[in-house]
Amino acid sequence: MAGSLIKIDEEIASSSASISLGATDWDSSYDVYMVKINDMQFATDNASLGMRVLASGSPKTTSDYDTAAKVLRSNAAFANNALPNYDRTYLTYIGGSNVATESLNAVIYLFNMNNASEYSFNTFEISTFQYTGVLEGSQGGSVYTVAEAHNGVQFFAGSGNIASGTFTLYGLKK
Amino acid sequence: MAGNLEFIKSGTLITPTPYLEIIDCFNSNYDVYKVVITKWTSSVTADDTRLRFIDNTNTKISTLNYDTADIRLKSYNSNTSEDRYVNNSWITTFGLDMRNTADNIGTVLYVYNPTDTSSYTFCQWQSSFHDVGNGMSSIKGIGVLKLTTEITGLAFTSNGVNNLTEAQVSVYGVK
Repeated sequence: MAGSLIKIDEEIASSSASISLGATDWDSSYDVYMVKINDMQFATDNASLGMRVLASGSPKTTSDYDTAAKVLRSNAAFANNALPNYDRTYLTYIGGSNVATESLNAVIYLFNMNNASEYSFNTFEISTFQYTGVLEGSQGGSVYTVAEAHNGVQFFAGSGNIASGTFTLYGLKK
Repeated sequence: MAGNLEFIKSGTLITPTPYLEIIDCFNSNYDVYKVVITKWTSSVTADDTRLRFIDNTNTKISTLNYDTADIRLKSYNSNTSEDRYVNNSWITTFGLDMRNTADNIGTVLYVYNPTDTSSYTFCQWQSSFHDVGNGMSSIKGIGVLKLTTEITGLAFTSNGVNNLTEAQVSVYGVK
């Protein structure tokens, strides 16, 4: 029997300023998409990881991203990350690590991306290390509050490049 | 078209033992794995559902190299519970105090980079379960094994000593 998780695009970072999934590779025949980030390292210590939606292949940079997440961490009480009207979705809380063993890993689901009359939503689960060497993972979601169609997502570091990592986009078959 | 979520193997407890071990479920064909726990019953009050990784010599890693952070949401009150462990001997907790057969669990766990000897092995999970003392809870958690050892398997347990009476786990590769 054929499976229902279908790979659409995959990009491997190599000192990359940003990574985009979709754009010309986008397949609009799905309602729900999954993004897998595996073994990602920052080039610069204490960097954040941002995510933006793409419209016609270009990242949307307006301050219309709302994010809500619970930040799990092994050294302190968990934090609430409430970020209304930002110019990106923040997938990290405390800055991330550039140590090779302390990678960032994530599963993200994207919803309503092809629907021009509704917002595009996502949920995310992250497991990584802070630059301080503490286990951290945000669990939450975000929305881009502009009703338009989107054809991908972009990932980028708040400072410096993405040194390495594999980014994969899947469609969930209807 | 072939899919990119591929079944690898499953493990079911046959006789009561302290561990359900699934060896050789990780290999170089995948970097990310989806693990699903569909049955779990333990024999002793307040036992957790915990995880140790198995290395490429089929040895359970029980050294103090596991960090965990998880949050528990409860149906029976509005409080949440936070667990934080640094340098522990296992990853915990997926579920708690499931002594009756009906007190089951559903867990989806992702495991990252188990066979990559240049990175730690990370994981994250969501569980929903019913414990005998209180009722339904949901847990979201993250964990890491801070070793670069090649990991090839999983060992689920309640506390390493007391028997499990029911356990079933399936492992899938995310290609």
